Amino acid sequence: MNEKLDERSKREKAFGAAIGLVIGAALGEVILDSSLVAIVSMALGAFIGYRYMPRVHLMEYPPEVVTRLVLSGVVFLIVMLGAIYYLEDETRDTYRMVIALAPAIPGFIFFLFMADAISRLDELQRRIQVEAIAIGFGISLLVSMVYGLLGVAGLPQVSWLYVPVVMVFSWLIGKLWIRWKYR
Amino acid sequence: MRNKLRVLRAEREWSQADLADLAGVSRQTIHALEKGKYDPSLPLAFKLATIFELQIEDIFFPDDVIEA
Repeated sequence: MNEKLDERSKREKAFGAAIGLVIGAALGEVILDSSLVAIVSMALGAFIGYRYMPRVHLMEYPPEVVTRLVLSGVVFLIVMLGAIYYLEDETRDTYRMVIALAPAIPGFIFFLFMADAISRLDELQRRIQVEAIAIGFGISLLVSMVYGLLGVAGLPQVSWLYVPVVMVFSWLIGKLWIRWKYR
Repeated sequence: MRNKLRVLRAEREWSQADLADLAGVSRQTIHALEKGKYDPSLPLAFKLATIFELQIEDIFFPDDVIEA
């Protein structure tokens, strides 16, 4: 049992360090635009992630479920960004409808895998996910509706592509909220 | 609902992760159960009772019942 725990703890530490590195790099390079800050914040992020991640209660998905979820998510993102890149140039006029619909296929597969992953969680973690999705749905409905009306009232119209971004952020807010409730 | 999970676990010198592994649930679930933030499903309550070799009512009891 201890070997299994050690292995899990190592996995959590590695995951925490990786997340810390990415956040540190994003903070330094992208937000503050400084390589020195990036190096320092990456080191600090990796240390904090390594040290404290085992204390965070992560969703416990089987490894193979995580692998296919990440792979399908990456494929979905690449196809989506590729489609946006192609369609933004209006001089490209062949197969526009087909390319616009292309992300729907990997997107559907990704959401099937996500539903499968949630169904494999234990009862409390599944409940947290479902409650977070319900909250996310409510927040995104409100935000979309309010901004839609503000758009009618005169604010600049925004692309429909922002709706999924709002949904993902709302779901994350919901998840933080519900995790706090069961902390 | 209240429970004696923390006491029973401590008596056996198990960590939350040990009990989570035995019950086939996450550490977060054991933590939430012990804190009284979450009431388990009947199958999970039976599983925990089996692990501790007790009856469900020896582990879980309503808020208004004084612990024996």
